[in-house]
Amino acid sequence: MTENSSWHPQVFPTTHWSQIGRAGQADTEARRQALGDILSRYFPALRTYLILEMNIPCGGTDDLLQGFVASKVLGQQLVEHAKRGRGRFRTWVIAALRNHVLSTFRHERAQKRSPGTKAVIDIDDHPELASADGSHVKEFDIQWARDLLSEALERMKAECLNSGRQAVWGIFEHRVVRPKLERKEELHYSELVQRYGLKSPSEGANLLVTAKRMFQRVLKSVVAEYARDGAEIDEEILDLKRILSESGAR
Amino acid sequence: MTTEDPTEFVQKSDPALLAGMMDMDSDTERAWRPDELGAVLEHQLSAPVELDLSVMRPGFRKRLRTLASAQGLVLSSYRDLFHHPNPPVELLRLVKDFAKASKDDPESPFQPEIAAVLYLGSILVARWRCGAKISAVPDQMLREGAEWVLGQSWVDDGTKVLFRDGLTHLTG
Repeated sequence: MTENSSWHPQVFPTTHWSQIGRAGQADTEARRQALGDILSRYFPALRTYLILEMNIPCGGTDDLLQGFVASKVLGQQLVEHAKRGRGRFRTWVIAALRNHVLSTFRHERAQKRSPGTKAVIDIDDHPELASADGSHVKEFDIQWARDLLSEALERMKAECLNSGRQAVWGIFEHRVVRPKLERKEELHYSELVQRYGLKSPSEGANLLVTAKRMFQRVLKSVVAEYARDGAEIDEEILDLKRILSESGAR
Repeated sequence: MTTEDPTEFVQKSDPALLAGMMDMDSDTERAWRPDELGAVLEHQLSAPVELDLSVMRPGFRKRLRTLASAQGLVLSSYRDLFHHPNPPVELLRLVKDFAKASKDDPESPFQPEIAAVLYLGSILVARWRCGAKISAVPDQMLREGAEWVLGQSWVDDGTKVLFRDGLTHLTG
């Protein structure tokens, strides 16, 4: 395999969480676990939703999120969502999370009425939990995009370093990631030629093409874990790009 | 190789800047800093003509050697070709075709700016040194192209002299 190839034998196609295992109790559990693994990557986004939209105190978010991904109901509901083929996964997740939070607090209130137990939060004291109006969904979407890009960059870096393609990662980092995100000048190709033992600046430019293609592939593979098909992957990426573009400065 | 976590940049950056990361296929931002193009041009002008053109047309290497040696030429680079007092027109035509194909090909290893210098240079040299018109591009467009080359800070003095002389002949 040459440096200019964007394919590597260790990279296998991503499996959508709903395709893990087959029908049956044990495999339903496997799918729930797979779904939980995926959702845990987006905990910062889900935490943002809990804090800003549902006014959950920062200290109370982790237990709620752990309970959410461990919920048996979650897996069943999302299989149904996937089968119906409607609506964005992100939209469904926060609806499911909100229902889980409300259900948890109602349960705890019921427990509180039993002798010897106390609710962490009494939902009667916090009517705002049930009245979330969606005004902070944009912050959730932006954080989701951050979590998605972070995962894609981490995977690409790992793939490059594990396959001995440090030059591809280095050129991508110094010609794309840092200039775009830190507004810094690109590192000069002469420096990159020296650093990675390239033949010429042109070789560096070719590797940049390879790197961009690789990142696009990895990004799509991360989205593919929760998007139903190729069209939905593309729609999701475009939607997140639009949301980020329209966000303006923080 | 950096040890910094790239995800830190993602978590701290302005969301509007992140939008550019979502679609690398549409990323049209410049591949080269202006101060890098000079080194790239120098590398290309010093590169063997024979190597590039034989890649473009496999099996053509023998013909290229024949062209280069027909007039006792010792051609080892594009620079040799452009500065030769009596270059083979067919070779200039091949360079012109190669540069044009590279300029229009997004997969080409050549940067469009470098391909443009080779393209315009081959046409001007053919007109000036050989009295041959190897392209249907109107003279006005050639003048504008030559003026563009002369206006680039990264083009070396030797190439600028070549273009000035070629331009003079075109307008003369």
